[in-house]
Amino acid sequence: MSAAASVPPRARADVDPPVLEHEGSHMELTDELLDKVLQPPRWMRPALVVTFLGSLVLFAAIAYTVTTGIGVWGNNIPVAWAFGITNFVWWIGIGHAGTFISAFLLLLEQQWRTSINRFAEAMTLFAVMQAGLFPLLHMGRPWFFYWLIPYPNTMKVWPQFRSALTWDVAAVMTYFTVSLLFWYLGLVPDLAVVRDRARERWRRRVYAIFALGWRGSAHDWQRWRIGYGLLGGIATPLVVSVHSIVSSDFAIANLPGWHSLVFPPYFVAGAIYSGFAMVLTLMIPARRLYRVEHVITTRHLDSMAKMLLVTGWIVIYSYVIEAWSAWYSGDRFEMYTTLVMRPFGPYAFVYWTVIACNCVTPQLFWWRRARRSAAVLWIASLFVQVGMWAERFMLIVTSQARDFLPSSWRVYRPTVIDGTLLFGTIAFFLFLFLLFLRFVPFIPIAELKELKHRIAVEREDGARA
Amino acid sequence: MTAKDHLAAPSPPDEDDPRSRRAADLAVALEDARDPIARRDFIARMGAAIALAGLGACTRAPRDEIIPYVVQPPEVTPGVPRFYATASTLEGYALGLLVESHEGRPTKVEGNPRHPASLGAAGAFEQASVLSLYDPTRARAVTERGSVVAWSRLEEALTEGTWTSAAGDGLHFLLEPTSSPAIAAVLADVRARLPRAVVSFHSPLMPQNQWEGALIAFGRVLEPRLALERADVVVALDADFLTTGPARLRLARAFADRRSTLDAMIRLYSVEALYTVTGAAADHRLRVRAGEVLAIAAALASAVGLPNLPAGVPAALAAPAEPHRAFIEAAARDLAAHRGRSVVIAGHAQPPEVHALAHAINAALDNLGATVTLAPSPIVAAGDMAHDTAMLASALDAGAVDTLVICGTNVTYASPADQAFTELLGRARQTAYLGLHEDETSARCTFMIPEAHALESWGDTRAFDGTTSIVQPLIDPLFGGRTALEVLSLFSGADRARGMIARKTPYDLVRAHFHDDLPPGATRDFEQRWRRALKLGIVEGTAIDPIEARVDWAGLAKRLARTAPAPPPAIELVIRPDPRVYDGRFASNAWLLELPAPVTNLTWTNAATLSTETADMLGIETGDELELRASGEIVNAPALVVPGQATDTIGLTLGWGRSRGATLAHGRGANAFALAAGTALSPISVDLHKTGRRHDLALTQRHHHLEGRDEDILHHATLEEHRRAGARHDAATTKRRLTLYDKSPRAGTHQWGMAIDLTRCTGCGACVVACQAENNVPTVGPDAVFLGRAMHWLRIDTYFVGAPEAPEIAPQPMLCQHCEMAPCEYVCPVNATVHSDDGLNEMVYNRCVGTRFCSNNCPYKVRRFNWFDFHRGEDATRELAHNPDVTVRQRGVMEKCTFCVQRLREHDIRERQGRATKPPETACQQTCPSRAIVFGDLSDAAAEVTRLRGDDRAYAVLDELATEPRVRYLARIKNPNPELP
Repeated sequence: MSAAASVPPRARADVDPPVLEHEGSHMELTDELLDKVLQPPRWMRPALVVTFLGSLVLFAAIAYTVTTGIGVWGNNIPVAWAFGITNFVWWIGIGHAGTFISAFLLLLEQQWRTSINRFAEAMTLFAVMQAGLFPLLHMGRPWFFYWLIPYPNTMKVWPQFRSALTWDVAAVMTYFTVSLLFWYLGLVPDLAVVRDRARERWRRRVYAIFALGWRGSAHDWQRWRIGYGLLGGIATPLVVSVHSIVSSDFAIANLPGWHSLVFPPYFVAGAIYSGFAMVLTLMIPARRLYRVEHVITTRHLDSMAKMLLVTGWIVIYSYVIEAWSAWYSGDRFEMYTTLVMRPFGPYAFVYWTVIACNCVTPQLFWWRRARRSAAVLWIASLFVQVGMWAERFMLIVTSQARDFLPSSWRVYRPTVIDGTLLFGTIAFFLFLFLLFLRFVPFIPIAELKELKHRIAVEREDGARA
Repeated sequence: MTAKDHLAAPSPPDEDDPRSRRAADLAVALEDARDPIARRDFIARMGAAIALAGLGACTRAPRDEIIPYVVQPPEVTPGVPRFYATASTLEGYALGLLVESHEGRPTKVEGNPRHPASLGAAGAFEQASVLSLYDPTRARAVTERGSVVAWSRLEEALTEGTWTSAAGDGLHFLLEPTSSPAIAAVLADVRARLPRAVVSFHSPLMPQNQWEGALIAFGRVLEPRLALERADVVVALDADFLTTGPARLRLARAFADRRSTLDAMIRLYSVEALYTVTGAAADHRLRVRAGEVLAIAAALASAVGLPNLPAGVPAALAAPAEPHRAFIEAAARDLAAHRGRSVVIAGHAQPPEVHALAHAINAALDNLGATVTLAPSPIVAAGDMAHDTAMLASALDAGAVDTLVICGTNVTYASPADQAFTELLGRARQTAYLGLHEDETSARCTFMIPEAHALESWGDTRAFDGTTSIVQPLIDPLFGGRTALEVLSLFSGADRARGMIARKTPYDLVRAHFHDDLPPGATRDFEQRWRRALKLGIVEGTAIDPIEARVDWAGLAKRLARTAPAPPPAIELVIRPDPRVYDGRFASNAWLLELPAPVTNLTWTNAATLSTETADMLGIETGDELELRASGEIVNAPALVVPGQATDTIGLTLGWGRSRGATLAHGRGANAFALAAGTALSPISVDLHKTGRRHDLALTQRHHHLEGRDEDILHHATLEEHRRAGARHDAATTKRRLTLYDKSPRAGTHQWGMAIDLTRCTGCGACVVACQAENNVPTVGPDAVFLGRAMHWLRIDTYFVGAPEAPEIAPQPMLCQHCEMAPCEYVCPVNATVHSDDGLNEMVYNRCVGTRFCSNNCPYKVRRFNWFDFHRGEDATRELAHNPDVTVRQRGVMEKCTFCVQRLREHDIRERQGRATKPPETACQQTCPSRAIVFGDLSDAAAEVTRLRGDDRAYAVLDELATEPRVRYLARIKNPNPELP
């Protein structure tokens, strides 16, 4: 992890680029960042329209699935979970980076988190929203989804608490709630700024409601800091717990390839890995389109690339351990799935895609030039996302396609609806994200000013020393 | 016919015929159940029908209002099913059935334990017959050239013709082969009245060769009856005796009994071209082309030695069998070592000479009278020229046919292409066709008469041994169908001169013949005997006694000397009946269409099967479309590689490629009749090449190799290996399993369990259909099967063991194992699958939300998911086939084998009420011809299932997962000849 950031910047100034390259006053910084919301760029409207249309396709596919039955997907027996659960795990994994950046790095006092945390948190929320669609849709009778929630009822039946799916519902819902609160709380001071600076009366009204009467008093700031810190504390373990529990959906099963204790840390590492990749995928174009390269600097790129390298290696380590423990178990079925079926079976191309995207791609970031090149990073981030999706597909589908009895072995092929749902959620995700860029200051103004101030103080201290 | 006056009634006008009126009313009621007057009328009639005839009328209660019986018939208790004995007929041979009827609605067929051909078992065809009954695509009205006409019009038209004044010259009948004494009597009556009328019988799969073979060997038409229970060694010459032939269920039972008796295990040698169920059960299987079997038979005969045959077996005949000398000699020595306790069986498709040789070998080995007895056929005019349609064809061709009446045989479709009935039928002045569907034949006929299904008709029929059964209807004809008996009786006993037709209902006719057939002096207690026959399902004492037959050695020698088989073609087309649609007659039955064929697991189509070697040689893969060219015709069929088939053969089953009358099967598969020449089953030369197109074959199983998991999944061994392992097993201590859970069952409850003996199981698939019928299991269609969504709760897994090009095929029925530590239960988030006190893994459909985690975690993959609302498309008629005791599952819920929980609960309730009850049986167990499935209470130390669980062959599939299944399998043991590799 980027240890350099905690060291006074002066010491490594020749190595690390600065976290903020703004030379103007605080006022100018505020104006500049507010402009992004108050005067949206011209590409915003067509981009919203396109992604909205994509979202409509998603809704149509959802309507078709729910009214006709999930037979419209390619799932079968034995592959009862396929694209739906793959997409769920992928999206929820992506949803990990936001909270990780905001909460984990907040607690670790990493300065470079400031410029990108809101961005990442919003991404988290929208990704979790996409993720949440799939467990609902993949159910045979989605209209009874609430039976998975423990509530007192006249049937006197509780959910079955031994099932990881029950924990899953709780974990995902908790994660979403806390992430939303964390994001919103961080947003309050900035909403107040928009409220104060918006030109139209209605806009001021709307922002006023969401700003919760923020006045910027020392009192406000003190309470806010405590609350934000506490939520950060609550959110941090959730980063670990959610994906650990998602991994239990597989790990508690006895299926070869699923039945594995390494899954929780393996899934968490993979989640953060893909989440960082998604942050990069969104951040690099946004940074350029909004001309905020001096706020989201090369330093951010560099740190993120290092995170990719580190989490990438954890993922590689997990792959090795998984294969090793399959072999070491001496279990015929486990060995077949992990050592034969995956690399050489009908889904071998998925396996090798995973290896190429997840294991080979991050090795680029041993080179500083690659870490600091926006283009390389962006393309690599796409590779990682494809790789992580493929990894989930590999874990989920290959294990089911060939389990214990060879008589039930059968491959799964996705249908058009399967593909539509995946790409539809991407469109819907982008649509929500564009709405976020359009209406909310996506770089935390208050926190950035604080950072600017702190850097200035540090610099003065350094000069004095 | 000897009509009794009291049974005859003056001919009323058609509208007054109570039967047609009832049928019409029923149709109205079914169509428009909302009309209150029609409904009331209908209910009244329904009650009357039951009360009067003692048979169930049928109904589907209107949705909006439920009406009780106006007058409840005394024998009916609503909600309690009743069982009636009846019989089904295939190729004229009867199979006794017990049919479950719910308020006059037959829902499930079982074998009649008293019937000699059934012994309590039923096959897939019989199990599926309920669905054929409720087939909404059945013909519904009498039509003349496509337009609906009254029965009276048909009657008038059919009984008029040039033949009326010419003693029947120009009147032809074409019937299915039949053993019915009533039909025989009516035919005799017709012949007496119209001596020049011609009766022919048609079925592509008649045992014509068998009859002829007996004619060669014994000088008369006789049928062999096998007593496998007394045999130690069996040689099957292209004979799939376990799944075909009139005594198939009985033979399967006897064979299985001698298989699982390890101390006196029967040994089976099979010589065949295609891989059949019998071949899979064999200890030694020789794969040769169908045309080579004659040589094998001759070689076997000369190896065994036929001392009485003048000049012995011609060497030229046996010469082509030289490469298989080791096999033949080993078999011959084995046969000779078991004189009087062995049997050679010839298959129906083999030429008469093979049958004659089989008889000769049996005679030489003193098997006649011991393991084989011979008796005249129960089939009317067996072995007669009447069983050849050539005469009819030439009469049609010559324009000598005025009126042709076809009863129940789809002759246009089910004839080899060289007998151009499609075209010939048009040459008769008028033709009438009695059939279940408006099919290929009805399209060429003047009149179409809807046929009554066997479960709707009165009739009689005889088993392979002659035992007569009365066919009782379980329901009034749903679509006003008629029986062949009724149609034929139009031509008998009529006194046209007085303008009177002596019309009798089939009920009257059957009763009359029953009366006539009673021994003199027994007519006094006629009514009592009649009721007893109906109740038992058989007429006692009607079996045909076997006769002492002597081989006509001189005749046989003469015939063999004349026999010079043609040199085998480069690639031989072997056509066989289909295990699902037979000769096409079941092609509109979805249960059978979706039944995975034994060995190949193919559904919804047939395929050109070929061996691994042939496929490699020709560069063909499963799914390639092949163009087959034989007898000057071209047919396209998908290829399916079946390891173990004889090389240089293409296998094709009959009954597919239907174009009319079987909506579900239209355009599916290839019509083998189009390629056949002469008789449908004789092997012919075929040319083939790939068309370049591909087919997605709806296979329920795609991977057949055990991947070295034999010890986990399917235990198989030779008898020798098993004995050695048994000794080892006793010495070793059994593994003690550690568990944290207290699993002691609740006292006082039954503990249900099952044992499946793989040594008995032949993989015929009857249990699959039985389960489907009992449990309202939907069919899903070929596309869904291809995707892996077949719904069968019980499936037959087929594994290939041994050499990849000629493996042994081992079937394994797989169903919910009702694990004591069920992996499905703890992963369900909503408690939809739970364990019962009596050890069932229960599925609560109402609670299921469809996460499918249970299926993922089921190591046996026996759970089935309702991907769509599979029952949605069912119309009112089809819904009648449902078992009212079993929930029809909704879309989005999981389902699986319940151990027929409805039967268990009924048993429990009766027990609690202190009422008499038999130990419950599951549907699969009940129908299994080989009794491979045993179900029972494990807490009962005396129960068969408990005994089998303790057998040294018993094992649990995937035992290492510690799921502790309640289903145990008994290892598959083979009894190979140590002489042969």
